Parts: sequence; structure tokens; C-alpha cells
Amino acid sequence: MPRFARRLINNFGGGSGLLGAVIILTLLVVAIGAPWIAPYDPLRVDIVNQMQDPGPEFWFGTDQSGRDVLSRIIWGARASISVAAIAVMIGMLGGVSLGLMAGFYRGGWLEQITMRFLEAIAAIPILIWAIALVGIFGVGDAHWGPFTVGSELKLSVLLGVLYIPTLARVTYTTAAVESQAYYVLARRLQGTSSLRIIVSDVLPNCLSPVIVQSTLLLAIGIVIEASVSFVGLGVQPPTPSWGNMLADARNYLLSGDWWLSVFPGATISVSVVGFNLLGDGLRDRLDPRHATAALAT
Amino acid sequence: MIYQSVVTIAGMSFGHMFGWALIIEQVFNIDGLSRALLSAIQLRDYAMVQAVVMVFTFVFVIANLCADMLNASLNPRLASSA
Repeated sequence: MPRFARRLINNFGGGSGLLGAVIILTLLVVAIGAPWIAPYDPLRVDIVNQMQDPGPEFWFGTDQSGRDVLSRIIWGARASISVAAIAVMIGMLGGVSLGLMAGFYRGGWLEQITMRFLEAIAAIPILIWAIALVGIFGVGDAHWGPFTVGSELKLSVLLGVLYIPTLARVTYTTAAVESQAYYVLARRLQGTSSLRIIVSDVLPNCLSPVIVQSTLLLAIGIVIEASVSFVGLGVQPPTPSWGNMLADARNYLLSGDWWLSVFPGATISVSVVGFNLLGDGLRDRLDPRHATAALAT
Repeated sequence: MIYQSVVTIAGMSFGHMFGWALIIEQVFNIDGLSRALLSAIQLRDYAMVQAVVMVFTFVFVIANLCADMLNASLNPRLASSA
């Protein structure tokens, strides 16, 4: 094997990590390039061609309104990826900063208040939180003050807030250890301010478990988005999303129209497996002490 | 001590499964607690939403408590430290 290939594989923590990275990259390209890649308009109703089997014209078949399933999956990738990505970004902003603060000022009242509050949030499973929050803020577009927030953005903001405890705990554990290290003491003796120590010394040393955890949270985000849309509380039809495609397909489970449920379901599975493979690979690469991975939703 | 982590994860999964049961109930048309939650959200019946989430939280907390106590009886060293 050529050296660059070996190095590429090692960078992703082995062959399966590279496979995960390839899956994610494909997914990103498809989500960003949806208008150019999708063969048909995902919303175009074509009654003549309704319920077509998968074939050369419609690769993944068509649904009850004659909409092309492949195009809907491609456009649905946008909803899934954007919800998961925005949620993880919000979770990282909040979680990493809170975790750093609590870890650095360990033993003070600041740590107690922050960590106990976050544990209270983490005490309820994330899917129940998500459904309850959608129940509080209402289905569909939300009106927060003068702003109208679309259902996708609303879902990602709510999910992002729910990610804060997980990421904060991961950051807190490493930050608490790193803050006791001698280099932090050395920096303090040099007269560096606490904020500067946190940002430029503690933060870089806490990042690798956060990166691994956020890759796994992206996978969870895709599943949560699909589940919430499946029960009709997330992305609202006619906007395609993998979850509400599955909800549509539920009516045709017994009539033998397998392509309606198999293709969106397989897409969800493949993308979740992709994120998990990448996460495991990165964990092996970045943190050799943790050879095993535990995925807790 | 592998059974410890098994018991801990089982206790946590028990609570999580209550959430995921929503999907199963929706697929197989089972009239369960999660569908009650779903219809309450759609009808904007906030008291009902509150009550169901409360029940779920209780189940989750009690399942975790049982797992902890089971852990303590499986490994007495944990009980003395806690």
C-alpha cells in the first residue's frame, strides 16, 4: 500500500474510520449540492407516475403523489444534516464554555451551580425532552419575540440546548484534570489572567474528547430529527425530511410498496453508522487510552 | 466487574426506551403513554404534556435508582463509598 494511503487511513483511526469519513463527506456533498444533484423537483406532484417501482426512470421509485423518492431523500439530507450540525454547534458553544468554567474553578459555588443544573437537565432522556419542548413551543413555525423561526431551526436550537449537558460534562472532566497541571501553574506564575489561561492553554487540551463526542452527537441528532419528524412534530410536510418520508410510508407498509420505507430508512441507518464509525476512528486516533466506545443516546 | 456496567447501562436504557417507545407505538398503533403525550401536544393540552413527562421522569429516575441499588448489592464496596 502506498505511503499516503496508509497515512490517510491512520489519520481516521483505521479503515472503518476512513469509511465513516467517506460516508459523511458524500452526505455533505449531497446535502449542499441538492438542487444540482436531485433528478426531479422533490415537491413536484406527478399523478400519472404515482407509486412507480424503482426503475431506470425513478431509481428509488415514486410515492403516492408521484414525487420522486430519490430526490426527496437528497433534499431531506439538508434537513437532517442542518438540524444535527446546528444543534452540535450550539451544544459546543454552550457546553464547552460552561464545562471549561466549571472545570477551571473546581470546588467553588460556580462549579456546583453549573454542574448540578446541567445534571438536572441530563436526568430526563433527550428524546422526551425534545418532544416535551416541541410541545411547549408548538408544532411548526415558532414566534420568539419579533422573530419567526422555522420548524427546522427551532428543532435544532432546542436540540442544541439539550446537547449542552453532555458536552459540558465531557469538557468538565478533562478541564478539571488539565487545570491542575503544572503548565497552568507556570502560566499563572507568569502573571497570565485566568481567562487567557482557560482559552489558550486549557481549551486546546480539552478539545479531542469534545470532537469525538460531537461526532457521536451528530448521529444522535439525525436519529432524533428523524424520530421527531416521524411523529409529526419536526419538519412539516411538504418539506421533505427522512423522518416524515417514513411517516408517509407507514400507510403503505402492508401493501407491498417497500421502496417507500426501505430507502429513507436505509439512508438514516447508513448515515448514523457513518458518523459512529468516524467517531470511533477519531476516538482511537485522538485518545488511545479509550479503545472502546459507548454510545448513550 | 463487568456486570456493574451492564446493570448501569440497563438502568439507563430502561428510561430511554420509554422515550423511543413513542416510535414503536406510532408504527404499530399501540395506545400507550407516548401516544397520549403526542395527542396532548397536538391538542395543546399542556397539563397532560406535563403529567406524561413527569411520569417518564419518575420512571427514569426510579430505574436509575434500582440500578444503583442493585449495583450496591452486587458489589458491597460501592455501598460503603456512597
